[in-house]
Amino acid sequence: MTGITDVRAGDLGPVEADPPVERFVLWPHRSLTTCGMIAILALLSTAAAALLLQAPALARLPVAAGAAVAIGGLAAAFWCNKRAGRRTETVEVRPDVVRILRVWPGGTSDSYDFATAWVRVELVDTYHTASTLRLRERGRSLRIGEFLSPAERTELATAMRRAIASARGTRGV
Amino acid sequence: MYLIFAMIGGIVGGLLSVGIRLELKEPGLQYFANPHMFNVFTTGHGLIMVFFMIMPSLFGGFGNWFAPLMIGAPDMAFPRMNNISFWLLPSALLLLLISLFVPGAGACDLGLLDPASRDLSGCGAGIGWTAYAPLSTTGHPGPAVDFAILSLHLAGASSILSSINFITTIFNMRAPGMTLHKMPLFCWSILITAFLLLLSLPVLAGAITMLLTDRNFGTTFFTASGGGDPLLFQHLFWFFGHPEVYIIILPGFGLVSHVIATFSRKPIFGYLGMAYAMVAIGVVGFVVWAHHMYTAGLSVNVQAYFVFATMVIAVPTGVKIFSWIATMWGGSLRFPTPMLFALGFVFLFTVGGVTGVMLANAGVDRVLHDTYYVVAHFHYTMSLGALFTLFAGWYYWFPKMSGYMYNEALGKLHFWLTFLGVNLTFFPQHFLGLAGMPRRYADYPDAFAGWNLVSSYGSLLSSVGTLVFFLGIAAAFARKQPAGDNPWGAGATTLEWTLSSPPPFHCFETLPKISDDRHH
Repeated sequence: MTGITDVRAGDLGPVEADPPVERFVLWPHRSLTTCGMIAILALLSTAAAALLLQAPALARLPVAAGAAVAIGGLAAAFWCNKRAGRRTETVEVRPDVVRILRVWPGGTSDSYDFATAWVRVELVDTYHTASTLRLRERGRSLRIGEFLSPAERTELATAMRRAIASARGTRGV
Repeated sequence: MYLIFAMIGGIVGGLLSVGIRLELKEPGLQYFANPHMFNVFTTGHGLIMVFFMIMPSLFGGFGNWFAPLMIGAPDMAFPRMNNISFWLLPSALLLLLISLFVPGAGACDLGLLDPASRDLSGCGAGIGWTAYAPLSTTGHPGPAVDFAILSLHLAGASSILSSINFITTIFNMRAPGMTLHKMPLFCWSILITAFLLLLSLPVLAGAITMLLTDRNFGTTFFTASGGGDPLLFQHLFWFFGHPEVYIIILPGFGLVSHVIATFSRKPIFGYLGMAYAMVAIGVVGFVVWAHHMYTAGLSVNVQAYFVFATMVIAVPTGVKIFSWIATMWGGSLRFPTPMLFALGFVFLFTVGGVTGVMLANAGVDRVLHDTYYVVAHFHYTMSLGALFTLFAGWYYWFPKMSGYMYNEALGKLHFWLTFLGVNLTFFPQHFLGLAGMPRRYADYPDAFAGWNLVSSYGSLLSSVGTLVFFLGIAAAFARKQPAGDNPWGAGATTLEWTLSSPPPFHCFETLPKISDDRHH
């Protein structure tokens, strides 16, 4: 890895007009809906309010402050986790170019292009370390699917290798 | 890291308890310069064992390691927040340890510059883990109590951050198909514990902040002459303190369910009943706090309510005990070390539960309040109960965590030494309590000498058991016998056993999709 830097959004090559051979859209899995989050927070707030009503008047303010921090913290954590779940990565494999479109939770996006003929898909899965999936080409590389589990990365790597091989065949090189 | 930290906390807290038992081995003062030092030891022992041993191991250690694995999440929702939660704990423990060496109730000179001037008579906070005012305010003018309070603040902040992390992870990052009703009971127990912490810790934080301002900023929340109420602190403390008992033991409930099911080679009996029994224990645990205060002048009607509410808790607890027994009934039972510790827990918790039902009676509690009967009761439930679940979990998951198999003979020796040791320590304390021996005293009349001697020998036997535990760890790492992915065979059905041992940092070789109707 030494001496190899990640590709930046400005390093874009020319856009090819060929239709994609395959397209992968990646996003983090979340198991709770927004309604569920609201329900949990409402339940917790109601419980805290009920507990506060039992507290003597003298102690209500300090206890309420602590409860507000705790429940507010949970609400913030839910929000952050949900927001992080909005991140997506789209991988388009075309005959000439493999394009990665990364959309951040805030709505901003970055795009990265690799030449289909040269790009390699590298899955590094060392025992005791997190696996990483990289696209590598001519001394530059890009990490993708960071929010996926190793199993999903493995699946993605296999599918991308197949799609890239197929795209190279389409181009007739 | 949580588990290693808990071991350090356990060694420090355990040594303090050995000090206490050595002092109580015979009437009169043997080792301590004065009774205050004895109280400092009991305070340190209680706080360290609760906040720096049991909670970091069961909730922090096993929770962080196995809850994400069991729900099929790659990791906790907020790994950095997890890191902060952990590093707050050593800081908190350091503050608590500092409190042992600064002035508390009086003069304190460690004699570092001039050994001749050494005076330890007023060092440390001798306020008990309950820190009742006015003992913790006017009774301890030195900074030791302030250090202890700040330590609790940090430990509380750590627990709140952990709770937020667990709730977010368990609700939001379960694998597809892992509905709440298919979730392993250990995850249920962690989730309920996280809710209990989130609701109860603000009360403790408020109470000790008020204590801090009473001590340092002239407020009078707990001073009657200034319009405050000393009983207010007791209410606030126990409003936190009683749910804290369940915070300590609930992860153990979840854990033991897995151990018993695995070594009975049967699914847990009454899964939903077990899950909702924990919910019920958590909910009812919030409305029984004043059973710790029967002698504080509550009206008869209030006492009657708390007697009733406290006894109600026996119902979901009984559901759990009987479900564990029903799980074993007709099962293909095996008795390796984790199962022995799980059965030991069921026995100890049942003994503690029975004495708890007795103490729930306000009339009986009048006689037994603040005696060694209470000490025996709460050690059987939240101390020994939690400790045995902790060891059950340790031996159950050690092959998964380390990749190595532990030495079964040493494990069983550890169990029997500990089981005999703790029973020898605490069972005689029932007799001492019934005979009227009060707790929190360094000395006692000769009439109590016999059972105290037995109790102290039991403590030493438990210490030998602890040495065998560490020997077992060293032997496992020296022998390096590979454990395999699932050393327990067909009975171990939860997701962590589908992974390699030890699991990689980010977890699943094949993404778990839970389509099976069976629960775990």
